[in-house]
Amino acid sequence: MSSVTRVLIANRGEIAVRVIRACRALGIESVVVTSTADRNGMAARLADRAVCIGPGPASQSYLVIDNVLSAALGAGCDAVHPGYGFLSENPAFAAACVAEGLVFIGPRPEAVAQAGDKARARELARSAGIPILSGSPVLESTEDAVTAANELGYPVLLKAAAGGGGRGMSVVENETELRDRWPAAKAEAQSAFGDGRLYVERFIRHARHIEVQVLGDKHGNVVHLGERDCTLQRRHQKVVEESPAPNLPEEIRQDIRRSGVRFAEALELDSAGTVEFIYDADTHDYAFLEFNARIQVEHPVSEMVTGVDLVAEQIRSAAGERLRIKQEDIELTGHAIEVRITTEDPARGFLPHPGTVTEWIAPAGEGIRVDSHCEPGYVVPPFYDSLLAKIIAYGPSRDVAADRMVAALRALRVTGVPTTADFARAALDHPDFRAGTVTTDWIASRGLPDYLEKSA
Amino acid sequence: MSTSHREVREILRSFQASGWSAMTLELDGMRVTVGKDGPPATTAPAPAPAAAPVAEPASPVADAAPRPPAVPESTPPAPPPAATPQPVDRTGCVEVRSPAVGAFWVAPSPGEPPFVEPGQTVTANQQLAIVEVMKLMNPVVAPRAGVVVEVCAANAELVEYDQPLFLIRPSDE
Repeated sequence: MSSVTRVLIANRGEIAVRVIRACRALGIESVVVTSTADRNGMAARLADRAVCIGPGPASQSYLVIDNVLSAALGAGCDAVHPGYGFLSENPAFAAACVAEGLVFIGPRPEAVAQAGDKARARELARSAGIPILSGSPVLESTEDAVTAANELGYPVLLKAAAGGGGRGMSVVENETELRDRWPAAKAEAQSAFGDGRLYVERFIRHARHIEVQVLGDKHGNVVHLGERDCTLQRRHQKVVEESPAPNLPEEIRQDIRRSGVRFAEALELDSAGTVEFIYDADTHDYAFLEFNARIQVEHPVSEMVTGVDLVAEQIRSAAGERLRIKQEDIELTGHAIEVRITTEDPARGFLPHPGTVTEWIAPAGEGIRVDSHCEPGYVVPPFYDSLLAKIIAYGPSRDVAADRMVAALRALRVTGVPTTADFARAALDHPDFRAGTVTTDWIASRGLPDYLEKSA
Repeated sequence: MSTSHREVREILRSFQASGWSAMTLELDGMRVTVGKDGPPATTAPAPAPAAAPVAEPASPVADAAPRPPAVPESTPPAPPPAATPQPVDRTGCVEVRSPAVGAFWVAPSPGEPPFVEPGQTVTANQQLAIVEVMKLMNPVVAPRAGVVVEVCAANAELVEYDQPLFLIRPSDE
């Protein structure tokens, strides 16, 4: 068993603060790396030590493997927690940590690499007997595309093989549209990605995003901590997450959880991870999307309903300890909802908005948790994501949790920068959300237009 | 740069376990003096070693350390301790900051004399030190010609990006 006594946190913002707290709970020292922009931030002040590793732009600080390693070794750390984003799913970073004798608090480098390769992850899911989205191989011609689309059934998604993150795809309703769309899609893919290869995939009109939190150790044990519903998204960025998923037939829920565990077992997962699925609200089918080999932004909702400190468990697993919880010990109690407060302007297409937070009073009260690095006077640097805080509301039922969240969002006082708080408040008050019938396109098609109309 | 309480406690434990009777430690602008049998004889409880801020354009070039009026001009209660270094006159100095996070080396390799020493005149772009980042040697160079007034970091220590490493008083050009 490797000992972990001083952890280098290779991240910033709220997740750095979150990891510092977990370290403290375990009696472990924390050293946080910072850029010059974050030198006097909350994480730097809360950690036992802060080491500045470069200027503001992440490409010269948080993303430079040698700088992070240099700080870790120079400060006498024995482990590295990568947080999320930045180097968290970079297999070269995980491997470099291990090569320097540092415990990487995350999955084995090989698992990080395998999960990061979409084709390999999909193949692993298929071999583990998990449904994957039916799709064609890369198509050579319009006639090939027509044949493939007929087999899948319309509508289909015409996708660029080199695309990603929601870019380079279009919905095609029938054969005529497909024949019309084909040459333009090929040309667009070529110009956008330098790669004109296309394929078709089944299109799910009423899609929900459901993911399973899994946790493993180095002794072959894997458990799940229930599922999260992260359907409310804009531009493929999650806005609201909750656990358990609402409005889901019980047998499907159990099946999705089992699939999550099967994937983690196939990957020999030895840390925390998330198996993401797309769920068809019309047919109740679900399919594997991808695996995230890291702690996720929305992990607190799972913590609230299970009572498990996921970051602490990550550290324990990395140190070689056995999981102390068995699947039968994990019982989801109540309901938790998380809202991401970002400095973005909903009225301007969620445009990120750096600036100075002049007033900051976080909500508090029964069932309210706030994970944040924000404070009065905080300057939102232009270099990083726009996440300011995560507000988590817990309640015995979904309605109570949602009501508490609405009250918390009203109580939050933040001036100086625009935030998404009031938009989220409106979304949580919306009958569609309360009924659990929203889909991944809801914000774009209904939530945002409704909100802008009312606030106009 | 802060040193944690835990680190200080660790250092004190090491001192306790050592055969030393006294120790003075300067670290990150903090100065700790401890003795096993009462205060050590050689060092007076230092009244904060003349913390002249780096940027203080208002103060004239000091010919001697200027005393605040509160301090009586007669013999101070304790003679100026020999161990306390002469307060460095930092007026008009420029900082040379670290180009990277890494280990600070004052000499080209162990055992060799340092690149520069306080009092030495340097030319613009002359190498002053090395900051080693994972075996990659980054030179620290003088931004302009002048006299090295102070070396602000200890050899072989971890230095941060942008941390002041040297003070140089530029020469007239």
